[in-house]
Amino acid sequence: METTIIIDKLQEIFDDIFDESQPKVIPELTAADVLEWDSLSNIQLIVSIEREFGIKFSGQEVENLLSVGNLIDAIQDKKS
Amino acid sequence: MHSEIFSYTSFNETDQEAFSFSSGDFNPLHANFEFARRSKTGEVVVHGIHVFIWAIDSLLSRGVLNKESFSQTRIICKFKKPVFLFERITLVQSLENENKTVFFVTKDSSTLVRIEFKREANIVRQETIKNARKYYLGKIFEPLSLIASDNEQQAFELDLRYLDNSYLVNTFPHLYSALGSKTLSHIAALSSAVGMIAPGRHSLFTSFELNILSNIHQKNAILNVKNYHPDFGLLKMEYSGFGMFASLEALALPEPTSPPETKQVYQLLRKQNLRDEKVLIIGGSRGIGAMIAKILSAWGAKVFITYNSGKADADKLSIDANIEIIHFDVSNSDPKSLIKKLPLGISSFFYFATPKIFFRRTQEFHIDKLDLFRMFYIDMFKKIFLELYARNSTLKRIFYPSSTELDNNYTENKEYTQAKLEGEEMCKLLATKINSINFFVPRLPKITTDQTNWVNQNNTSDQDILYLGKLLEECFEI
Repeated sequence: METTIIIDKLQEIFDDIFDESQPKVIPELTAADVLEWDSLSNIQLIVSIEREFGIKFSGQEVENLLSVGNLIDAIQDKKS
Repeated sequence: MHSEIFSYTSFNETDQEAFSFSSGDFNPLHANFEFARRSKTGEVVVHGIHVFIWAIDSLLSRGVLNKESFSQTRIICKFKKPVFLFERITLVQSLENENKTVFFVTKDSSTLVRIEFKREANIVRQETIKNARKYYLGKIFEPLSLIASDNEQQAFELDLRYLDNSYLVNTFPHLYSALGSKTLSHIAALSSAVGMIAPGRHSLFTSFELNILSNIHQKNAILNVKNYHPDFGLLKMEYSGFGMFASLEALALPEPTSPPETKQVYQLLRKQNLRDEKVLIIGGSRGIGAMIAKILSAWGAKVFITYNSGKADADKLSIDANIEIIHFDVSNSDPKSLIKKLPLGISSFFYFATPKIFFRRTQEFHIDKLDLFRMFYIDMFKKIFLELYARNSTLKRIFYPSSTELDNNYTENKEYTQAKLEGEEMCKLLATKINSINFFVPRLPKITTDQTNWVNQNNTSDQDILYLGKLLEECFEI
């Protein structure tokens, strides 16, 4: 799956979950850059990504998915 | 960013109790300090729906909203952060365009609740529900604690006849006037849907979308669990009540973690003989302190732990593992009195004392937070250590843990990181001055505790025990 398509879909999810800060989704974006990106919103984010892309993450994987770059890699990995 | 301030308030225990009787939500997270301290939030939390009702009533009272504001409108409410008892919260308006108006409930610079009025037609597809379990709100005081697989595709019929809505009617007269007492009660009962039923006892209400619909006249509310994510505990539900329909989202949280069983320690770790060791663990009634207490006790050490508010947890450790327990409030007790209660010959001192780490993440650096962390991690550590050192020539090792979070640039808590870095420096300095004592200052990785456990894992994992066992072998040089 192409990175640009993933980023477009992630942008919609980010806009919904991080509705206050509405960060621009770029691979370099990390949880540290988004005030609303905490443990709770990370779960909501991951569940939305699972639904959107039809993939599954384990609890352990989720702990490392705290940047857009890592999310893109994980989505591509699972979709390949 | 926020433009106009509409109202302030705070909630006390009397408000909480009154709301419980009006909504039927008696979840202990809203009243029981012992329960709350083992929860994600770490302290007693105001019912989210209570805050929502207050906000809408305030907006109606100031003419920002009126009766017509509810028609052809979807109200989307997100509970971003918990509201605690007694804290002063503010209701502000921030965003408005022709399609939506957004209000925020804030504390300092943190958004706690976001309420959006979106002007578009309500699309509600009500299903016919069969075999709904009947649940009498206001008659049941213990929340259900459904296991994951029980939640999915279940329906409940909520009978509100035992609720006393006088608090709602008297305290929120504008909302009562706009929607009527029945709809107001059914909105309040959303709190019970999550806190008492699904997921019930260990739950976190994250958001809901409310549609006010004057053509629904059902006496009892229907709660329908639509979807459940077993790994992360996320539930999606629908709720129809008198004059309203809502879709809800909530998290089923894991039960509090337990320290390892002694037999689990024996099965996983090499047997060690620490019979000559007397160990003091400050903050040992739960979390990593309790895990270490259990391991050291299983290895034969005489272990003394201190507790502050967690007497029940400490008592359990005392019974299960023959650990001595001592009450000691790090923020408000004299270290001399603690040391006098201990026998002579303490050989190891473990320091797990911490204030409540659950703070709302903010952009700003808060000096008062830093001061609190410094008081726990530096001032009190030093005082207890010096008292202990003065009376125990046997003292040979100090265990002063922090977190691998200090290694990362990303941290949810800048003040914690700074105080712990300063604490590590203090240990280094003490180590240069006192050669007879080994200062063991590890940065611990994420270990499953009540505060870090977001996915279903109730007991200390084998991996955590193996890690801590290895760390302790290194600390005791065995």
